[in-house]
Amino acid sequence: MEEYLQKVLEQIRCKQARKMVEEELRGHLEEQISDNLLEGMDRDEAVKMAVEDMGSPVETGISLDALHRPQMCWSMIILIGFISFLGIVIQTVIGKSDGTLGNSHMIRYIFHVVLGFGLMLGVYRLDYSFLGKYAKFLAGLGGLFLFLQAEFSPVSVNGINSWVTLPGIGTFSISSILYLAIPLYGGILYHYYGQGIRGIGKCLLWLLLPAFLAYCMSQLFQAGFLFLVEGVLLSYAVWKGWFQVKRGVFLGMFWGTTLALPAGVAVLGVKLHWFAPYQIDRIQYYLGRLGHISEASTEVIRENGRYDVVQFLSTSYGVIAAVVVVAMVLVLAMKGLHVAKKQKNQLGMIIGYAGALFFLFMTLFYIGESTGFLPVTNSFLPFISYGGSNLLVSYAVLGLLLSVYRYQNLLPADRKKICRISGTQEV
Amino acid sequence: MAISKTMVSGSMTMLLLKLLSEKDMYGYEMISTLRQRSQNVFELKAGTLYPLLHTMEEKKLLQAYEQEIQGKMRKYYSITREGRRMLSEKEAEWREYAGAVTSVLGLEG
Repeated sequence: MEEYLQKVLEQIRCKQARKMVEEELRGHLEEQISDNLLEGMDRDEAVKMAVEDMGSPVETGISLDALHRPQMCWSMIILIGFISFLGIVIQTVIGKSDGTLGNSHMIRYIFHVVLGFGLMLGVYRLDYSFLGKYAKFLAGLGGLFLFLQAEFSPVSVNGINSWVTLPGIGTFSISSILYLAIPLYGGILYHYYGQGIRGIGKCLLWLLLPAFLAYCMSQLFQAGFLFLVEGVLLSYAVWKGWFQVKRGVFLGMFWGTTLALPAGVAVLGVKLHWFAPYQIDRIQYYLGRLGHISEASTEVIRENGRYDVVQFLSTSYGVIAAVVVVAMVLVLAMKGLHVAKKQKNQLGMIIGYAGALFFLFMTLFYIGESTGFLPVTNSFLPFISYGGSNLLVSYAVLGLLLSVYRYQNLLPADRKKICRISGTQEV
Repeated sequence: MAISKTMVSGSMTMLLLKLLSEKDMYGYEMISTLRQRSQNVFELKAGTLYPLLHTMEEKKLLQAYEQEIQGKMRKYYSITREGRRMLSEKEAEWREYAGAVTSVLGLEG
């Protein structure tokens, strides 16, 4: 029997697929051997007959090898290659057009793109399923580390304290690293699969953690962004029946509370004058009660000194150029959603959605900001906007999406579906 | 009577979908059920079955999950909505084909 299994497995080149195939074929052989023994054969004969019934191990192995190979999502790689190239061209033009930025602007950008590409390929090689096992641990430890850094030994860059120095690697923006909470949250949701209302309660606490961290660092946009994307992921998991609760009731309560709370705070804030005058101006502007935003609130664009890529392209090369660049990033996000939808493995699916929704929502917020529909925030256009930490995080998340694609036919079936069928808790 | 291999393999996807439309099964169970129902005509080898099941899973006709029964972990397959759609198409095709063959051979009546 061992000889048969070895021969089959020798034909399969991908290591991750071998375990899955071995478990299934071994199970089959053992069933056949037990039945042969019941029919009165002795042990040796029972094993021999069972192996003969399996057919040729080499042919079986070759067929399975063709089915279970790591896959490269070439369309996504080509697209990101093109987007990265465009990013370099755009930032070079921005660098040349603004004398104060100099060559270092372009060199720093290219350096981060190359580093990001390397990081993406490194993450792509990783088996993403570690997120199912260690997401809670990584999120807890990472959250604690970032919180302690921000509170007790902040690194200041351009007067902003939310930076962290990783020894031997470099200085990174804490708020950028916090975006990694989104794919980690996918892993956390999977961890609580099948645990009913208690599981949802724990998922809600984990949802609040990164949003709270961002809020502590006065990154209000990011707090809202993390809450929104993770809230959508949680809603999707509930909708797919992961927690065996009444879906409509939960979703109604969750989104009802999510919308009612900030609306209540905004109304009270305006009435009781909790906010600064420019904040009240903005709220009234978005409610349609003010024809224009006062100077005080638009000043922020200049204070931050960063170039809005969409505005830069629109004014320098026309609106079509800006639309084409943004559309390419949106196509990448949509491609990510498609990859996620195709996954049979539930963990792969939720991690895929996490990555794709991160790109999609970030791009939409950026468009909203550039076109003046939304207030100026810290959103960025993934892979195009200037900012080393944001670039690296974007490439790492894309690497995860590619890893989901790579292992789609190699990981074992979901053991967790047991919960849905028998209604019992997973142990 | 021995049935030629090509004749069986062409319809095997349909037969497996039919079995799984009745209940979720694991590989060994599928082979035994097929053998019993076909009065030993369909002696499917495991080496043929599993690559076929994995292909059908990749095409989203089936979904796999693991379940522990009496201390043994078994990989079960269940049919998907796409699989049921494919089954009804294949069944209709098969009925038309079988009817035509029967007519040509003059076996009716």
